[in-house]
Order: sequence, then structure tokens, then C-alpha cells
Amino acid sequence: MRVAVVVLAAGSGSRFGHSTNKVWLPLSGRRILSRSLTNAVKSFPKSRNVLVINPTDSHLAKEVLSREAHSIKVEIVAGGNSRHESEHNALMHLAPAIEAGKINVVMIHDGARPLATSKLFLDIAQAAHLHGGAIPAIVVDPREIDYSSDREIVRVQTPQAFRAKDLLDAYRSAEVDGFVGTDTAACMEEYFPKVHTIAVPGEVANVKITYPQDLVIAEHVLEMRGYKE
Amino acid sequence: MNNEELTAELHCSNCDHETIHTLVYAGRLLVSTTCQVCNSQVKHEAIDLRLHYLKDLEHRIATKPRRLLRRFWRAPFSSAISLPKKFMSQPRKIWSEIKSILGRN
Repeated sequence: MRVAVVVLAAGSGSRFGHSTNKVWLPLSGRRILSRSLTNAVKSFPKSRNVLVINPTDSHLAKEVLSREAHSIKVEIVAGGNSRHESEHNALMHLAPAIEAGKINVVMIHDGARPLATSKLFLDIAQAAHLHGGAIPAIVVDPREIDYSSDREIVRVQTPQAFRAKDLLDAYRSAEVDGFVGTDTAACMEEYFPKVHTIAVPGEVANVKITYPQDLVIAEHVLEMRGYKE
Repeated sequence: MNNEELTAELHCSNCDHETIHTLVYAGRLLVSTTCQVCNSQVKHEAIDLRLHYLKDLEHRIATKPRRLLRRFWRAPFSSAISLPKKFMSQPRKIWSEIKSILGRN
């Protein structure tokens, strides 16, 4: 299995003026993004690692990577105006290697999810290699959303992984059609509906840092893990 | 990162949209976040923060030699120059963190 890991961190931190993109915030002594990146690549010693950032953060990225992730070889790619565009840029960067058969699984992870364990990344990559695609999902009690519903509802997380060639073709087709997906799986579903995407059990602790409370929860989780992963 | 104040966009539960928040850190720990629009604040519970800080301090002390070595290995010259200054500033830095944690009640 030849894996490429793509970590998305291109969100803007300056929509309201001078502020930091949340992925660069400290979390128990290290930046959120460096934790996300380190966990993502831990299980894949020979992976290609792509970090998609806002070009205005390039100086900060170099500083943080040299301090906190100096042992990881990272290729930096400029992000776009949307998540979809950032994924597209990363895939175009990897396209020559994908076409040459040097990468057969691409895994895309949100930089604001610093608590996904290396085991989850490995499970997702293996399932994608075997079945075509894999996403982590947590079953939600449907009554939390609609009391009358008895359908099974899942909360989807990242990392999401797919066979590299299919994913590249999907994003190329999306570019031609002007399709913009909400996440990686949405684009694959649009262009390769027959690809079997497996739902792998997600992790409750794999929160996306969104609310201020998430930072407090993340600190507690890291403390419980002895600040590892 | 001692008693540092940062600003970042986070989703405010009160405003129900992304707003700029001020984040206050003591050492490696987050002390509080405040929404700059509605002033709603999220804090660690005081007793919890003290325990959390002690555990974190223990971890920082235990891992310091390893972190120092790594820094020396990467940049021996600049590390050697900055070490005495950093060493001298540690008591004041930790005292300031403790004051910030105790003073938030």
C-alpha cells in the first residue's frame, strides 16, 4: 500500500481582521496542526505528506514544522477558497505520482482534528485499499435530531481515504463540471457512485476543534493519553 | 507560551456563528476563551485547572531534558546562546503562570 497523506489547514484566520487560523493554536504545548499531522503520518513511514495551507501562513508553517514536526518530510501546497478547491490543489500536486502508480491510496484529513489516533488512520487506509474508499463514522442516536425518526444516522469524521486514481479522476471531472463537494466522500459519490465506501468505526474523541469548549475537551483527552497522540 | 493572549476564530454558541475569541494561556494550558462580540467566556473549572496545571508542569519538567537535547541537536549554536537567558527566566515564568491560575477565581 503506497499512501499519500493530505492534511487540510487552509482556512483563513483573517476574515474579521487580525486573528490566528485555529489550526495554529497551541494545544498542550504543541500546535493543533502539528498534532494532526504527526498522528496522520505515524503509521506510514514511507508516505508522501502534503500540507495544504493558506499562503499567508507559509512563514508560520515553516517555523512550526521545523520546531514540532522536523522529522516529517512535508510538501506544502497552497489552498483554495473552499475545502474542495484545497483538496483539488493537493491532488493536482500528487497527480504525476498517482498516474505513475507510485501512490495508490490518498487519505485526506482535517488539520483541526488533532485527536484522531494513528490506529484510525491505519484502519481507514487499509479499508480504502481493500474496498475502494473508507470514512470514519459514529452512530448518532436519531432522537437527538428527530424524535420520530428510527433511521440510523451517522456523524462522519476525517480521515477519509480513497483509491488514488479514482479520487484524482473525480476531482478532474468536478473541475470540468464546476461541482463543489462538501467533503471528499461527496465528490466521490457524485462521480464514482459504484465505488464501495466502507464506514469504519470513528473515534468519539476525534473532535473537530470548532467551539471554544472543544479546546478544553481536547486538553483533557491529551492529559488522559499522557500527552501521546 | 507563558500567559499568552491569542485571538482566533471559533464558533460562539451564544452568537451561533464564527467570531473572534481571545484565548488566554498559562504555560501550555488554556485558561479561558472570550467571545469578542458577546463576551461569553469558557473557562476550565478552577480546581480542575489547578490539578491540570500541576500534572502538566510535572510532564513539562520530566520531558525538558529530552526537549533541550532535541533543540541542541537541531541548532547547537543558537541554543547555547539562548540557554542561560531561558534558564534565568524560568522561575519568573512559572511564578507568573501560577499567579495567573490562582488569580482567576
